[in-house]
Amino acid sequence: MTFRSLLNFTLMCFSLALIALFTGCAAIVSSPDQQLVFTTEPTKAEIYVNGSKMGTTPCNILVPRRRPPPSIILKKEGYEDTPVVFTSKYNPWIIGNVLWGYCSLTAFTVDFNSDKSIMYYPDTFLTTLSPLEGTTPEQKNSAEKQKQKSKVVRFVAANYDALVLELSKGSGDHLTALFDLMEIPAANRENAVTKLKPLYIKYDNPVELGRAIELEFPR
Amino acid sequence: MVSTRKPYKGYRLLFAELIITLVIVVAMSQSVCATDDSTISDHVIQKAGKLRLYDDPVWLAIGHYQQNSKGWISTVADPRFFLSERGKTDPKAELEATIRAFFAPRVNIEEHATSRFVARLAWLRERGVLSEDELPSFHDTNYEKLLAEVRPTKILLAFPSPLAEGMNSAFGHVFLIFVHDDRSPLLAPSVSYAALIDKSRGVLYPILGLAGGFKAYYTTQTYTEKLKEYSAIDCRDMWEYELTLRPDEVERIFQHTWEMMHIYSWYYFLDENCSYGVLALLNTARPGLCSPAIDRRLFILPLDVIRQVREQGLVESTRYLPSVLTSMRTLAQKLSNSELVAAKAMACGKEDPMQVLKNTNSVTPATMLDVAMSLAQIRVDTGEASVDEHQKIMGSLIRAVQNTQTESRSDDIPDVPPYPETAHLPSRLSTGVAIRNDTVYWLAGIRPAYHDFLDPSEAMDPAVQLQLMATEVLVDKTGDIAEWKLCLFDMETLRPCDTLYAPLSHRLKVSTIYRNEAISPSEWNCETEGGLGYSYALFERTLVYGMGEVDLQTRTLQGDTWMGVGPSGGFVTDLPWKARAFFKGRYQINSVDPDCLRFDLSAGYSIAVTKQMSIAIQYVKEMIIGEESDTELRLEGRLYF
Repeated sequence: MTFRSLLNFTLMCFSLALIALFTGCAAIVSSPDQQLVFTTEPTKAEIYVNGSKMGTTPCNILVPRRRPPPSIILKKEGYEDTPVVFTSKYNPWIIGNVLWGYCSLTAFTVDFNSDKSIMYYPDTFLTTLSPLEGTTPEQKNSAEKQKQKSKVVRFVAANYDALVLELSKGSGDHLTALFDLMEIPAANRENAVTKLKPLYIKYDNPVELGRAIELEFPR
Repeated sequence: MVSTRKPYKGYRLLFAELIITLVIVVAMSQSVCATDDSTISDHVIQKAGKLRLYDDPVWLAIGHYQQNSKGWISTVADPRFFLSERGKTDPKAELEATIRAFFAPRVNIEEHATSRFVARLAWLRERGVLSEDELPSFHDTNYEKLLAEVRPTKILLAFPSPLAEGMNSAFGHVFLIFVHDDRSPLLAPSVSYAALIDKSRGVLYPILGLAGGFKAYYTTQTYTEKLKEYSAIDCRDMWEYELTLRPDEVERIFQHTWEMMHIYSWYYFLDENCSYGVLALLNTARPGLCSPAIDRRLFILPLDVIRQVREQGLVESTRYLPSVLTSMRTLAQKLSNSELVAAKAMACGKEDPMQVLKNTNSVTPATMLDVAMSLAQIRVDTGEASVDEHQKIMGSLIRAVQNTQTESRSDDIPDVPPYPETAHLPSRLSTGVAIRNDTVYWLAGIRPAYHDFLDPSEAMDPAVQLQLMATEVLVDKTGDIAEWKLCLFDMETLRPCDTLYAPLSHRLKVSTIYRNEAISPSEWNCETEGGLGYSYALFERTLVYGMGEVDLQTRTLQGDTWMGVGPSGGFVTDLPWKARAFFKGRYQINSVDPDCLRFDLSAGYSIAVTKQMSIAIQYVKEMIIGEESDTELRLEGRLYF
């Protein structure tokens, strides 16, 4: 075997190993199930996947990767049944198969046509349950207050990272939006930032933090 | 017994008569009402007809009508949008049916035409053909509740920058946000137009996307959710354009958005796409905004919408929103390499932030923590970290922030790049000469979209090349076509890695070439190339990269196939005087016959003469061991339109 043949053989093995590494990723990351995270406001809602109860919020559940995706409904007494809306997209790792073209045609075809290629998006859900509409004005008013309260909790939980970053700087778009949502006048916002900081240290769970903020800044 | 039954029969008869009489009276009164309503609606129809409102630009805009050779046709496909059977092609019939439906009996308030078609109703009132006396409005409808909650006073047009990860995001995206002056836009609802893609169609999915095989809907989400999706998850910078629309125009767009909820049209990736959907909404406010110039294009891209509103003088102000990744990289510039390594360790949960800060003598500890937090956010949003793990990491980072003195933050904000609409136009005509193996050819090409590494990089992402349907012919001195090349798809994304974040760079190109040179037999060559690797930024304006590549070529007329595997590497750089250059080398081994080797070299240089014109020189050398090498030098002028 000449040096050139040896070099060629080594280079080819290296490239094929690289291909195998990338195309193999689909199999590595794509188990038949995907873990989805559910949190609701209020908590303790039952999660039904295709009609079967799978858990109670807050919890993580394994959902089978399927086409079409399973139907997931959140149920809680006194609240409307809430379907969870999510989409499936192709696992980006299978692009490895596409890019590596015909060398991995089999791998690509298998992954593309199997449910392993599916990734549900988003994979974290914070859902605010809507109270069933009451009939009396008091009930309606209470439902409206609950909705408003839920909005704050939901906003804090959904934008936790951005709020934390902005809080460390003392200002930002997300903080402004939170104060607008809580109807805190501009003059009191600097104070509000000071009040918020200890809460962020105390609560590292976004939903709990949202609830604590609601209590700290009653309207 | 008998005597007691007779009166009972009599009462029963009387009761029956009474019921019949009541039914007749009610029916007559209904008939009178119906006659009244029908008379009023006929009167309104007459008034509308006299004013030729069916030809009114606003009516045509809210019906999404477009003129073709046979007359009018609406681009809306959903039959529920039309109240007349002929509504899709007949604006007059649709207007008459709408007026009749407004006067129809009010059984289900939310389903009644006045509650569903609020823009049509408001427009008829505005034109003075339908007064509140003739047709009282419903109150407390779902639309009114929504309007009271949102109270839109202005509209923002948002443009998330392109993300060359897939065709659906490669050209960017546009959507609208309904904002109230007194509230943060982040709390406002946004509306975008998107296809409901059924990926279970497998390989047919892209074809159906191009051919109108998917339904498209207007969808709403809060702007916060959108921002999270684009800025945090996709790491795309965004632009906001505040539009100078009058309050009545804002309201009409809002009303029409309501009308279009749950109504589908067919989605065409090239023209009736998200950009078209947004233009169609804006067009209802100011008909003519969707100008014929844009209608005639093969493609409508998100940037076309931005250019259109800019040209119409509709832009009040512009705001740049850097992505989490851009912001993080700006902050990271202040840190040394050891600080970046420490920040990464904190973001990955490998080291306790308090401990790191204790041991460091950094003068910018707060920046280190901010970088760590941003990286932690990117990791959880891209699925690299679990939610549980992330919460623990963020908790420890927040505790560390509280114990850290904040340093000056004056240079934390990324520089604002040039406005994306100032980039060169997407379509390109090119012409010039090519010298291939001592033979001279004249070349001409057209590319509908979008950008390559030698196009002017101003306001474009210098790390992305994306071309669709680029075609080119080479003509020899006898006037015969020597080569015809169609590049169906060419996407190359060089995403620079750094200490903190190392995304993959990739390329994929699918093309076909027909060669009919006098010196060799005709051949038809189909080629698919793909690669994955990493790139790094050098000297601020240069990207170097290395990839593993696969190249499959089939020469159909000869029946032979080349399947090359091997490494490639090169660089792309911006030079002074608005010039750009690239170099690429590629070594390939034929996996079918490992003794067959190929070495390709290509280099290019271009200079922008004006924003819409450039000159490019390219050199390509292909060497197959044991065969004669091919060399090509070309000089071309490029015009963007």
